[in-house]
Amino acid sequence: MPTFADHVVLDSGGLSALLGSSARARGWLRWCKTSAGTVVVPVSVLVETVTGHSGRDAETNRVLRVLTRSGRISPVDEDLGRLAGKLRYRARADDGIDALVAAEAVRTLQPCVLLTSDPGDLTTLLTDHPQVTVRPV
Amino acid sequence: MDHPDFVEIRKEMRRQKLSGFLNRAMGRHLHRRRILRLLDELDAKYGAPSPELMAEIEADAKRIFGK
Repeated sequence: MPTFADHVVLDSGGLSALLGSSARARGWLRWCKTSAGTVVVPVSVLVETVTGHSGRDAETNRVLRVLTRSGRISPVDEDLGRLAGKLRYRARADDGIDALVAAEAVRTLQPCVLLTSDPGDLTTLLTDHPQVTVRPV
Repeated sequence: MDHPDFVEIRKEMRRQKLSGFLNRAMGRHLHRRRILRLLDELDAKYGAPSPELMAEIEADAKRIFGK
């Protein structure tokens, strides 16, 4: 189980906001890195951000390479899948990708900020986990 | 355990531990610098977050992380 201190998790909307013009997303990442925190990109985010086309994906890949140089694309394993299933079931939610992102934020049991462009569904998934703070970017 | 071989092994283990620690610290430092450079680049392109926004984020982070 990872034990990242002060971590900021990006969902696909958070990553897109960073690639776009969101000063708030950049502000959170700057805070995280100047506080020696960790940026986590769940591998499930790739499903919604890359296309398999090298030209179209070039900017996304460049940013992902910088963010994840030290291996912080968190893989999906059985424990994470089961935790995501539990969160999805309890929230009566449908979106498996959101559930995996929420599970990534929950699994260290440490305070964490989850940056997203669509806080509604993630907030519902994380109702029972007040240590995770969802912030729109 | 004072046999010269053991002394040598202990010395080497200490050296490797220190070397591993320094390598990890250097890796973290370089990774952090790369991210901050990327943020500088994006700020130059889109405009840096305002001081008010940074103050808001820092206050929020303090509430969340307690520092």
